[in-house]
Amino acid sequence: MKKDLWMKRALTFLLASALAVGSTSCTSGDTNKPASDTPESEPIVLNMHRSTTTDNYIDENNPTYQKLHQQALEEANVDLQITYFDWGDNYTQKLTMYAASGDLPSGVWVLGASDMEIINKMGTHGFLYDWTDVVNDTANYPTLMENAGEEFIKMSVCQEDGKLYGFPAETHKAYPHAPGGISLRKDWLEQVNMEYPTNEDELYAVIKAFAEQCTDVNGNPVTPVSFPQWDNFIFWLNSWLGTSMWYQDGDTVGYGKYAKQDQLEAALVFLNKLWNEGLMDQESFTHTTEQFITKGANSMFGVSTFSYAATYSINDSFYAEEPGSDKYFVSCPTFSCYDELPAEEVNSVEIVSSPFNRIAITKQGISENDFKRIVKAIDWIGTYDASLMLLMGFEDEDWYYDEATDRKLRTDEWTQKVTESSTYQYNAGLCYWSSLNSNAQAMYDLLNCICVRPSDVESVQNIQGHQIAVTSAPNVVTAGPVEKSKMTLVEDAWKQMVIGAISAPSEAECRNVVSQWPQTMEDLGYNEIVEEKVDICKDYGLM
Amino acid sequence: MKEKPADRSLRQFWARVVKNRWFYVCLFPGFILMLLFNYLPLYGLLGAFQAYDPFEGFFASPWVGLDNFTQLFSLPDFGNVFWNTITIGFWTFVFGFPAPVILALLFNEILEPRFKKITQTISYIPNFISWVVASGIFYKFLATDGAVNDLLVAVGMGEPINFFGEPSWFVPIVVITSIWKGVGFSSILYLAVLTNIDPGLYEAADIDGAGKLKKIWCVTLPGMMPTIALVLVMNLSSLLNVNFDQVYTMQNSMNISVSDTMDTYMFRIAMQGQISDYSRGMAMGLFRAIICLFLFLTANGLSKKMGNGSVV
Amino acid sequence: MARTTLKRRRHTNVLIILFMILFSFLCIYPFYYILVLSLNDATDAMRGGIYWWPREISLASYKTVFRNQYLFNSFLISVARVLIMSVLVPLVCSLYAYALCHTELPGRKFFRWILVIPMYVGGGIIPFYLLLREMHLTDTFWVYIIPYIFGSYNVLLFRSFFSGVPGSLRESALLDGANELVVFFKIIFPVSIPVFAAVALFTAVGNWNEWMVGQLFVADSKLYPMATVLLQIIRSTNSGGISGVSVSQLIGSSSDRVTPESVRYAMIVVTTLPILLVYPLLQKYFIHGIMIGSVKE
Repeated sequence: MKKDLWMKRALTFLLASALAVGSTSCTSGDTNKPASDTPESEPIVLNMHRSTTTDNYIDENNPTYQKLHQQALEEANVDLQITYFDWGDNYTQKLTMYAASGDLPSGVWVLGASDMEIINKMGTHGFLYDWTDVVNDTANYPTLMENAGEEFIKMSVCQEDGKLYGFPAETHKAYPHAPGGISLRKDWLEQVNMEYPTNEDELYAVIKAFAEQCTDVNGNPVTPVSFPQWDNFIFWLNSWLGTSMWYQDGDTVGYGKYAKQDQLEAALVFLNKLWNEGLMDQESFTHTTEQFITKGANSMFGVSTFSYAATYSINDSFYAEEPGSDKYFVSCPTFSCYDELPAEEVNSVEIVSSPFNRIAITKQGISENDFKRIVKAIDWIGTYDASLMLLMGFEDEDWYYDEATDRKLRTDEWTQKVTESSTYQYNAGLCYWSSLNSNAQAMYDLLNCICVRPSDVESVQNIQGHQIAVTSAPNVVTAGPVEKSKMTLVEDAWKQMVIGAISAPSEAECRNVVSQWPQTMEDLGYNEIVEEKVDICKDYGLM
Repeated sequence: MKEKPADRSLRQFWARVVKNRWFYVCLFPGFILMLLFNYLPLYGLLGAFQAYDPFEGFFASPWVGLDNFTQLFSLPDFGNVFWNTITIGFWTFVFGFPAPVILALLFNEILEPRFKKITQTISYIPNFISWVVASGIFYKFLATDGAVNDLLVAVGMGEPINFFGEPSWFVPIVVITSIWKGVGFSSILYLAVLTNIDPGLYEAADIDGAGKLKKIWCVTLPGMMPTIALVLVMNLSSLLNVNFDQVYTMQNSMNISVSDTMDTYMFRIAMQGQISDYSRGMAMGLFRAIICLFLFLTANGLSKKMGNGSVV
Repeated sequence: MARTTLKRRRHTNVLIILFMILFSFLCIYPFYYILVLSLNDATDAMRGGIYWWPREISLASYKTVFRNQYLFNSFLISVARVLIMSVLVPLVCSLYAYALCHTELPGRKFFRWILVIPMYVGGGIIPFYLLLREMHLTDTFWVYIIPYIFGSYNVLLFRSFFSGVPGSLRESALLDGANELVVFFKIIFPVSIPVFAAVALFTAVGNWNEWMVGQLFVADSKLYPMATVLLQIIRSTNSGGISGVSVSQLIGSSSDRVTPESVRYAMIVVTTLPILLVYPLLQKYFIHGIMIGSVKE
């Protein structure tokens, strides 16, 4: 008996002392260490952390990285060290650990809404430098304001307590870029002697033609449509929905995937038809990406969504088999299946990110003077033109020095070059896209730089149709607590609904499933999410 | 002056401590390490009751009491997910626990040493293939046009089975692949114990005229009993800890109703990459820990009742 | 044990042999399949249909793996880590377990039951990280070792095994005037070699494959263990992005292209082969179970 008592006492004592000791040691670490200035002659070491998906991981041997590093050193005497972390769990854990311990890197990239939250927190706790005072002295910023307006600035960077914690990049009125949602086998299209579909009926006709006339490597008939699970499947639906993300229509705000009931029904009925007529691979939602790639490489389907990893891999394998042939997947120009979509301009403003877009500099080891030097560095590198320079190469003839703006600008010859670039060619359906033939791809990954097009409205219209701009206020503001806790539930339910609708045995059943969606959505709290979103946009002064 | 009884028992206590001092030396390194790295960080459990903000730390973040837990339980699919976890855990246990024991016994029966050595080495190779790759392979072989279905069709079973699209196949697949991956490696432990059984006992059994099976039942298994009991208790208590990697890579939109476990559900729902989820993660972890402890104590109690003594 | 049955039969039960052959095939074929695919050209492998022999042999995946500048270094780190842990872990855990076996030890119940909580309850990663920082373990080699030496499960394993060792062995040694430590090393240890070998093996394999500690707590690439480095190699070869190496190859020949899949397979082969080579050497500890000089009951 006595032993038991002692044991219990001992255990309690143990736990209590754990709490006590823990409380003394769990300080937030040494923040705001006064850092000393780096001498002018020496480069400032900027230790940057950036989250990445597996798609754009770049190591030190990558020539892109090396170019960027070189430029930073030459232009501004800043030694740039970039460390990548996997997006998601691991990166968040890392940042949380930094925050808890105070061991912050010199700078953090802000890529998305979740990063923004962390940066805002860091800012309000005093870990970050405030850009507000310094931006006006840069050559870049005033141009930015002129081009995009203050609204955009507010939209694209973190700005919680009125301060600017991330450095905004320059925008450029660029045309929306392909690839669109649907990709097709180019050679099959030629084989059945048809044009790119421009509406739902034509798409169906193309699919039927593929089913009737095309065969796979073993000579068997094909099931023309297949998807790599959910990977970018949503892009396919954009032809019906316009945008799958948040849109703003005057005073209304909505999430495209969920809120456009009629268009959603139309899309799902179409897909359901494909499913029931045996035109869609019924393993689409269960096979792995690898299996999808194998099927593609064996020509077992000819219509799919665009997907970087999958479509590129399939094209790669075709190229390896027979370089220069017409056998590849190409992006089909986006079309609209529903005329009453909110009017979107072809010339939409799009955020073009530069390497230093939304960079937040911490006070860790960076003194005030160092910070000013860094600002100067970023001033140039952060321009759109600089991004393009790094993108397209350093040949001097592409660029001329413009005294008025004290910057390097691009020439017309450069525009010509772009037209011949694989990026453009691919989007025009003129060639295949693969990691093989595009140096641009490498730069894309690092710079997050969207592909560029000549400023020719007509050619764009010929090629692209109208693509809906992604940028709108609700898409860039931070997510509030309601959205964070409820959005994934709604998304989950949406996926289940879509699967149920597509695999429904009849059209009537399909419509039935879809018709239940608004109620489900409401039950899960979608309306509250929207309300909160509107409030946040208003807080940012964007509505 | 006569010594007070309390003083005397204290003196006796210390005398015993001194007498057993070498044992304390044995305990010392492990004890210190455990205190430091296992017990000290436990103050992090406070995070389950807070809206943890890493900048504020554990003692300045706002307290929310049981809010994290109620949030957890009020997630719409929580009940279903919990049930899935139990189902998968249960069946994996029922089939997966005896398998290494049986395999070890089978190995024991092999007489040719080289054959034994080779099959043993081969048996645990699957353990080194990560679940990501293993699932990829299974997908390939179990696809509607994969090797297994080709075999089934050739043998005359009619239509190919969409293994990964049918919810009812999920649990069998998980159980079988779990066994495939773990049985060889786990059997090593049992083999280690088996080889230590006194050969004299087998001789005695022979003399008593025992057949093969009887020998296994009366000599081998009892000899392995402490280890079997230990593994049994440990497995029962980790019933809820269904392997995340395995389930996550094998689940897809069509079998999600049965393939969603607590871990994968939390991962999907809470994976926004946000700091605020630390609290929710801790709440979930604490909830699971309590259940595991409960299961452990129950299983341990059962083990005691059945005469194997406490595992601890 | 084998000796007695030899008198009765000359060979193993045929059924058992058949079963073992089937079972072994099921176990080894996936690995063989991975080996074959890793030796195949990556883009050709995408087309599927390869089961027994590579269609287009290519060492590109292996080249990608071995080209990494940190790989060799990480190999040394992993080996060091495995060796040190394989010695320390069984040692510390078995000592603890040995003490627990002594029924008259004051406070025994306490020392037994404090093992339970750490098995299931954890404080999460942040307090752990803060502790490691305070102790200056982060970004050093010792972060792989020190926090992970002690494990409750191992202790329980040893204890269950030790409880089966006859007490008479110990007593006869004590009578000869030895202290408990000597008893442990000279008497208990030689008798328990199989379980020591098993725990050492589990520890070794676990530490060899472990990649998360390096990723979370170590910033210097030179201190990464092999598993962490291999994971990074995979990430950098995704076809959506290009590692510096393959850019030059892209323009030239196509034979050196790799996909994350093929690199993953090569990685598995590279990781598994050392273990496959080491284990058979340890196996002899599992086959002999003789109690040397033991006291017959």
